[in-house]
Amino acid sequence: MRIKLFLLAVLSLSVSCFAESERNQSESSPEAGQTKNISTGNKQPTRIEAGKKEAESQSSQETSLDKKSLMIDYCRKHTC
Amino acid sequence: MQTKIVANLVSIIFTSYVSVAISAAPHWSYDEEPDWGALEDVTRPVPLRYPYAECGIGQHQSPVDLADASIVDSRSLNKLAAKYGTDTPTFFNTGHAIQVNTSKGFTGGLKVGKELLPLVQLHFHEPSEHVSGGRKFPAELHFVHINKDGRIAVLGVVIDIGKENAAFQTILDNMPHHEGEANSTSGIRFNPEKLLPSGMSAANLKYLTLAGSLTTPPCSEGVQWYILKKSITISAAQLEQLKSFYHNNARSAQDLHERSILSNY
Repeated sequence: MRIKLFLLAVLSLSVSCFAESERNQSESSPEAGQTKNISTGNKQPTRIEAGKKEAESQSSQETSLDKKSLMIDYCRKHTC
Repeated sequence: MQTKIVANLVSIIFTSYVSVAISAAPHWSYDEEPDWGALEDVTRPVPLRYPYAECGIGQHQSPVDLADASIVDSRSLNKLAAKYGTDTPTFFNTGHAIQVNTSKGFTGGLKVGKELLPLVQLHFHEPSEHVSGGRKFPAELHFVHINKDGRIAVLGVVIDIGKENAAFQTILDNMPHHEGEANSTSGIRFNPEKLLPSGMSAANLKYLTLAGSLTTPPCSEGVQWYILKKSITISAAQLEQLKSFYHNNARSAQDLHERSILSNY
């Protein structure tokens, strides 16, 4: 019985997390924005492309920064 | 929908495993060096159970025997300059070596061509890790630099016995004796450039370079090594003091696997 209750709790958590991430995705997804913008004119996709590239570049910069700070932290704590 | 829930569950479990993998690492020692690659962390799932596997299967491992390689004289290599300057560092006994960590705002580094790689720490091995024709030197100093992409470059300096080294004495005098202890309140002003060989311009260092790895677990590859042509000296008494902290904390020379060593002198 306890196992069933535990599994039920885990499943509920998963469903709520999933629902939340779906909601966030639909709110923040560039694709969702793209669908709205395409109908408003031909120049919008170019702006979207630029936005996408900017987001990708920002994400890559963030990854580099994360990697750098992780490496620095590791090498300060260990003889690397 | 069910598939998505299952996928979500699997993702949660995987994330937990990865978090555990990052947060802990098995203890290692120099006595078990031949087995570093096989050290197991039983708390992890199979793909992450051997966190130091690269030590055993890597093809570009460090250190190496410098006499084993054909040294290619390539004067068109990047100019190498040490631009360290003075810092108020932390003296840290890591449990495997004595180490000096630069302060967080420290801007000094190693200039490779036009790129400046900030200095993060320097530490010592006894005896040397890099060898020449099987011959070990009394000790070796590693300056560790990390660039903006997280790439590591290490400047290695071989240490011989000779004249006493004042900069090295400052490190010995301020180093905590207990493993894991750090001395960050010494207030000592220290310039790492003082540990470079005299008679060699810090603005134009003469070096050998090769691709290698960290010499301690996890032995990650992608490290660019610069080994200075000239050695520095410490006195016999200073070597004994270094040994009182750690001795035999040096990995043995690894197979070159067709790597070349380039030289700018």
